[in-house]
Amino acid sequence: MIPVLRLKGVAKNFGRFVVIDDVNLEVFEGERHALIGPNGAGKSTLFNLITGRYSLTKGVIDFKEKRIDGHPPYKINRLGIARSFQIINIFKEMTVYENVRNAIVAARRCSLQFTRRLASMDGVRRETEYILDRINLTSFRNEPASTLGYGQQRALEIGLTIAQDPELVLLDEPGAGLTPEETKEIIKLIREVTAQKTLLIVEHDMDVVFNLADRISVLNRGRIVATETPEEIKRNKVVKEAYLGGFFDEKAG
Amino acid sequence: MSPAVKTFFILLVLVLAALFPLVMGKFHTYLLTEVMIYAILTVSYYLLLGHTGLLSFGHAAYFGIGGYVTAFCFLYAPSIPLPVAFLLAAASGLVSGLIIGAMLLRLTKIYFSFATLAFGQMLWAIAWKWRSVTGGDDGLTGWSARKVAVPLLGSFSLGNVTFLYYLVFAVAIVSIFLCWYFTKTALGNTLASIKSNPIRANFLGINIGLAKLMLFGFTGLIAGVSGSLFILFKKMASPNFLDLFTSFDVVVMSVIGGYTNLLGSMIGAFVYVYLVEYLSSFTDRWQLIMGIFFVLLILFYPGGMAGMLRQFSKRVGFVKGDRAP
Amino acid sequence: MESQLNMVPVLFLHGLVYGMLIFLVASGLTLVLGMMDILNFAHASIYMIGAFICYQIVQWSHSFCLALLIAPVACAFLGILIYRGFIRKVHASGHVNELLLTFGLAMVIMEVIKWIYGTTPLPVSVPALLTGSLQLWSDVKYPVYRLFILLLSGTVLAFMFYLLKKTRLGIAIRACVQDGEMASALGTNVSLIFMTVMGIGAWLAGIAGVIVAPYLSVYSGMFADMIMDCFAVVAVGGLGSLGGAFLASILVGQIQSFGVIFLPRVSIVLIYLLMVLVFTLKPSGLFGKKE
Repeated sequence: MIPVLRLKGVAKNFGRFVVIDDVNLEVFEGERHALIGPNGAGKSTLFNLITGRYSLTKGVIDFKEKRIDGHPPYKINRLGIARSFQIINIFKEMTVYENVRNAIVAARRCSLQFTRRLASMDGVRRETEYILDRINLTSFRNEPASTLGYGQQRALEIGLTIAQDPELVLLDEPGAGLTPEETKEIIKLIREVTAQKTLLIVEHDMDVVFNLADRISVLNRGRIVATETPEEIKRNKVVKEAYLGGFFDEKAG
Repeated sequence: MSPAVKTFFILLVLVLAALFPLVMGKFHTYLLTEVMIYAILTVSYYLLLGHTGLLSFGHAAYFGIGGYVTAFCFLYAPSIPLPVAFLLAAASGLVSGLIIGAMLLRLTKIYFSFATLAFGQMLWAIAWKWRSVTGGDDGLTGWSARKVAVPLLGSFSLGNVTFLYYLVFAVAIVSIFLCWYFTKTALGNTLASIKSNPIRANFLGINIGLAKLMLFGFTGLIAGVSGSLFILFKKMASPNFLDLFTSFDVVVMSVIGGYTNLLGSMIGAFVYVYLVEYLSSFTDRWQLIMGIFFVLLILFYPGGMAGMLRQFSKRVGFVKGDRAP
Repeated sequence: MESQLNMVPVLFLHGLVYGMLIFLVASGLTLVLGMMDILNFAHASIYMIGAFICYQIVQWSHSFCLALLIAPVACAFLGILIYRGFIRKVHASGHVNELLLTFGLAMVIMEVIKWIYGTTPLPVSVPALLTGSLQLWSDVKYPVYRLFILLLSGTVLAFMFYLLKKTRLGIAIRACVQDGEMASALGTNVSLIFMTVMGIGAWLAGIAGVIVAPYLSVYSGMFADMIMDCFAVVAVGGLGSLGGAFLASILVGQIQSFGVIFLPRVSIVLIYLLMVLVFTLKPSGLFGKKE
């Protein structure tokens, strides 16, 4: 099987500070792949590398067998990779409807159209309303995004990510800061919206991880120390050491 | 405010403006002409600052370039009809907007503001020094009595205050409408999203550089048109029309009216012109008073007059919002 | 051509003198910019106020020394006042408003000065001790006062260098310029540091204003002349970088000095061309933080 996403020998330094050190990772089509690891291991940095925000110091990143490292974020997005952010990164002053619409307009490649009124584009409107429905925010469509509750903002964050129908979805701690009820809802939402897609998810919440993931990779000190199924990960001594106790004992066990 | 009420008000204003010269004397007609020319300029500036969040201190560059190009037409190719001169001014504004814009693309916030200041100053210095072409400090003159042929209505002189008023009025309606329409397009929305969250916009697949470039081109075009009208109005072209004081005037007008609002920009032009006119007849220190007024606005009413109007409308119930007690 | 070549060492010294003056003003500007992303237009106004206070003190007391002692301190207070009274109020409503405010303040200050003193340049005589010229080497004479400027600014800068590199305050300042959030998280009182930097920056600008008074005289256009050179220095050197600002100041000083003589018709545009070059090739400046 050919991996949808492949990282080979990827490294990233900030000056003398090595954040990512020789990462090799393969994510296959339709897979739900979780990336876990202690704080500061470099998970968000890895996302930033994949999506073009940072440049690689070493190594290669392939998407569907083609190199994507070195491209700017907007080009990588257009290839079919979308990401969410650990710290909610929505268009705060715009309404929920406008937020989603931004994603749709960009996906339909008409973000630079200047001859027609945006309001008259029916296709855009339909798709936007469809996405709003999928993330259950239709009743909030005209509210400014900043007035939404935290859980709803998280849902919108995911909405922006999947609105463009990407092949590869990267979710960066989508459950951060949610209550247990909200977490259940988010897991359900993630399952639904990533149904036919490939998912790479960073999470600390083990409930989410063990509920969703087909395979789990563990990132520690800039390296992948293990890539296995959830059952194997639970038994893996190396992984346990990486967390220096306490991580697994708390939750799934 | 419902669309019907809004449309009513717009039509009312247009009708009043159309009747203005017939009711008021030459002096006020002259002033309002200046207001309309500045209104075109500030509305083009609104697209940069209010709509996209780019604080430019060099907007006068396109204003001045448009003016000079029109002046060149009048002086070196007088047989070119006025509409063509306008189009050339617009084209020159567009081109300079694109060229300068291309160099501004990767700059954000403070760097951007610096750079616009630098470009504006550079162009002013060129206009000032290049006497052989621009007349240097003395500027260019020679079209104050030029005749313009209007189909079906005969020929009018640029010295005719009433004619100039209606000419500017017509161009203003078209230009301001185009700017308004611009904000309603997908490109306009994209720019607003860039203002709101440029990082997310990038990650959604938006080519921010290209969007900004198109913005720079368009605002340059409109500013060029405004500059073209200005030299008709002032009967001269001068390097001063490119200098930082003119650029600062645009900023001041925008702030007075409320720079986050298209209507505010127009109000700002109106208030500024009349304020300067009346203040300067009272005192030599009118610039100081304007400066203090400006600082007070930023401190206490950054929404400008449009912001104050909005608050007032909310209280009175014209606009949906929390009714103040 | 001979005489022009002979002028080179003198022009170089002119450039150095002017460059040092710019650096005194720009250093405060770039630190504040690097720390809090506030472009303080009014900083160059403080330079101008320093010059006018110097003029006034010399008028009253005939003592340049007194002016040199008092004016910069007054400027320091003024700098802190501007921050606490104005800038802080507007910080919350965003970048654009901050810029507009400092810009407005600068305009008001300029108008007030025009009102009180008019627009004609006011002379301040070179203190008796420092008049005359010094023979530097074969047929090159240089005014003593300008050498004094070099000496004084050099001393001040050495002191600043020591402050920043060797004292705890200096380390705290550098930390805040590098990463204000981090410094705050580590326990530094960023707000206090910031006020200190504003005060020191304003003090330096005041010194520059005092020492430039006998050199270029005192006039309301000083603000405009200095602000563009300052901006050029900060843009070229990089926001927040003192080293960059220093090098850029020398460069700008030399460009102004040599440009006026060798390329008189385009000299006025040279600074802007330099800025444009930097903006297109390396937008963050020679040593600036990369965004």
